[in-house]
Amino acid sequence: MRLLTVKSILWFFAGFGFVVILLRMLHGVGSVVALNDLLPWGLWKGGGVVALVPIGGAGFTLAAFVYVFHWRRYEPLARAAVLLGLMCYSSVAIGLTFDIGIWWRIVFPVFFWQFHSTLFEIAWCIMLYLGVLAFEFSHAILERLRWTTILHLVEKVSIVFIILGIALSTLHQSSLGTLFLATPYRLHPLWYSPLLPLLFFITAIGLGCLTITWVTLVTHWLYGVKQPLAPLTGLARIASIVLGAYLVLRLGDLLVAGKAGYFFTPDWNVLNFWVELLLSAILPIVFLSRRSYRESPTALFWIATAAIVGMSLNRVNVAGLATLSATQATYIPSWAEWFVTLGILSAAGLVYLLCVEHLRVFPTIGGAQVEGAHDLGTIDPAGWHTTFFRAPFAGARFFSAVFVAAVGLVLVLLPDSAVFGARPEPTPTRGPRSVELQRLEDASADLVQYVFPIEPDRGLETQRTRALLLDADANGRYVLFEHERHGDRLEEQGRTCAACHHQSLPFAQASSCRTCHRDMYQPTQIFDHGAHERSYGGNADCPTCHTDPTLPKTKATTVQCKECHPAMVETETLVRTGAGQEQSTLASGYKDAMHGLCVTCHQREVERGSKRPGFGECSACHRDVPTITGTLQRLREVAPRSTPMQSEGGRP
Amino acid sequence: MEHWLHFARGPMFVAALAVLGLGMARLVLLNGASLAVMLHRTRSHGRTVAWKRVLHNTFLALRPFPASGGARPWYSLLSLVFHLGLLLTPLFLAAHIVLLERGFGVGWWALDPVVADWLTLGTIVSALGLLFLRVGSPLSRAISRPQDYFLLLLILTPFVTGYLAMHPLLNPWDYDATMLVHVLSGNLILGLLPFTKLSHVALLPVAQVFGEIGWHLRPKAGEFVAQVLGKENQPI
Repeated sequence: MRLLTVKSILWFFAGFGFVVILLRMLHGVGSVVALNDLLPWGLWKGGGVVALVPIGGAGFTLAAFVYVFHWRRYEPLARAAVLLGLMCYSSVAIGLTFDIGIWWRIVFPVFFWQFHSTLFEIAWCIMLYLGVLAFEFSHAILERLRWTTILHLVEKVSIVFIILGIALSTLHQSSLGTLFLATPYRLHPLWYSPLLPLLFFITAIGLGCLTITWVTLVTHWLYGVKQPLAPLTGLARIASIVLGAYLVLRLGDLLVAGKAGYFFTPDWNVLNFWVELLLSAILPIVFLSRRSYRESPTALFWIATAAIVGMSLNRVNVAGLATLSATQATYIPSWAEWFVTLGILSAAGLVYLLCVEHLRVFPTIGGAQVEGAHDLGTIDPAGWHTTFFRAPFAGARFFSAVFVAAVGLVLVLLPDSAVFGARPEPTPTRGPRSVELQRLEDASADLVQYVFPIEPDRGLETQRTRALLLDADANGRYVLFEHERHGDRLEEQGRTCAACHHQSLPFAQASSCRTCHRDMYQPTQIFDHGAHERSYGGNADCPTCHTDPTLPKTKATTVQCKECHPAMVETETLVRTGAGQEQSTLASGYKDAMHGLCVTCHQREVERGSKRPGFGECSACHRDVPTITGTLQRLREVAPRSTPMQSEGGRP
Repeated sequence: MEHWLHFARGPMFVAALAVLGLGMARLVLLNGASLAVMLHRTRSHGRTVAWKRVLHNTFLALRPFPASGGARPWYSLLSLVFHLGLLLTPLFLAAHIVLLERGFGVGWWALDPVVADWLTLGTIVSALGLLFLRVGSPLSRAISRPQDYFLLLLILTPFVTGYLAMHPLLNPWDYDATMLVHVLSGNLILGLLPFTKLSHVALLPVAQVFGEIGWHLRPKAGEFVAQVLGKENQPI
């Protein structure tokens, strides 16, 4: 029953990870992670790669013990260690794939060789070592398939591969440390050390011994089989010696470098340092030095757990946590990041259990033990259990239901941006509202002026009326729409109501203003105060625009844009200005800015032959407004792309 | 409330669809595999499968009315109306199609709103009738499980709330609240489809096959029963 419970939990988390990975592939990495420019290495790389690699170090450690040093005592664990390494490195490779922005470029290190990059070396080492691990583990598969001829061939050359694997591991375990030599000022002094490569390598050996101990203990517990204590006791002994060497080196290095002053300063980082050191080295060394603890499975389990947690904390610290104080970054992994990490690890765990059940991974666990662990006892054929545990395929029935439930649950839990992709926040807009105002007609100039808000003193010459006030972005630059007058003017032009009200449109909608007033879309520049300040030479030249230094610096007291940039003024505009008023153009606002921002790229992609359906259409962005149709080409005709600001007669 | 409605119509609906799709795929795979195993077993026992009879039975089971009018003609009639409304209304309601077009960009022909209204009413009435017949008949009551009542009431919920949402004058509750209940119950139905007896939407064609090859009494089963009941020497 405990095996069934653990497996269902693993299937559950695998379902979580499956969904998030799918969404991440669809919508991009930004839609699911909480990373930022100050902290680009988060849970996936820090926890999923940098911490998983030393956990997978069990593979090369045990391979060295058994096949190079011929310590036959550890042979029963060798194959499990290789499998553990294979699972860890596969998880690393899969996790890394989804961590890089354009995920299918994970294969690029194969084709584009960057000799100066530490990551290039790590990528190749992990790739090759993954191949070596797969080769080493192929013994078990060939054995099961009974392909004896190939098995003999593989066995003959395997020592070459084992040595290659050990060499590759030595290289990349240490070069993961080398990687962080590039960050002397980001990393907290308690972690930064020129010895990082050496420390990473030594801890990988110590941790390797303890992870295989942990995995062996847990696997035997799951299948209800007695743990093979003899090799575990030996490994514990080796681990305590290696971790002791690490502790001496680490503390010695800190003392020699004169960083001992940090040891007892009250600071979160220092607390973190001590917790890490306590869990990863001090506690394991102290407890493993006692024989009775080395020979007790329970004690070994807890010591190994502490060491794994502590050493993972060490890697996470170096990869990110200990840089937070220097970079002032804040980062809390998003749910999606946890789900992916848990999902990949769970899937790896399931593959591991599958191998344990069907191949000879542990000599102690075979068909009878596996069957015993899966035995459910007798089930009431009329009870609800039969829906899920009915033979045949009792396991598949139950685990697939758990998986599907997890998929549903995670889709509910994830934020909108992760499920549907991150989109720009829609700007809240205000609908038109009816207001009362005064109308002032000037028959000679064929002009109408509106007075709003109402000025009671001007009662005689004006006429009260109602109009719609349109100010969608609520910036105070509104348009007053008087329906009656619009009708009158259209009538003068010989047009009818149908100019705006088409009964044929969906929901009998009226044409929008821009159908006639095309120049609503004429682009103008947004005023960038910083850019002006820089080009004018900073504070010294404020009076160039703010002419009277005694007045408060408001828009009203400042030189207008068109004084220096006369080319900005629209000449052929349908928007009439009052008699004696000048056309002054200010920035058109958010809509045009956004159009300029998005349309430029969309247009370029369409010209480059983008295959994405509808990418060049207005509906690509305006998804929720069914009435907005057309293509960007058309938008471009309406709104020609803004040209760089011309300076005529003014300063630059 | 609007926030909840947005959530129910957005991520939750997607989740329900995902559960529906994956769950159905799971059902098809599992049942396909089980069928293969059972067929293999049948063959290895030297039995043959009467495919013709299976096919015949499948079509017989699909007929709305049994040849003689059936033992319970009212039940058959109500069931027919219920299933018609259940299939047509959600799939071809104009409002649903507008939502689908907005969300996924696909849409299709829609029912006339008046027809949809009558279908909805028909479904509600027939569901109530089915419930009444189930409770009313001692035989039905005896073989009914909790899910038989629960699913009927669950299916009734979106139809009632949907009708009320479309007829605000009849609706005593807030529109958004009605809509929320409507969407939530609809999502729940989609999610439960592959895990309850509702899965017959996908498994109906193979139900008869399973009956044919999966449900055989063991040889001498009758004697075992007689032994257990202590009636060995009595005629069966």
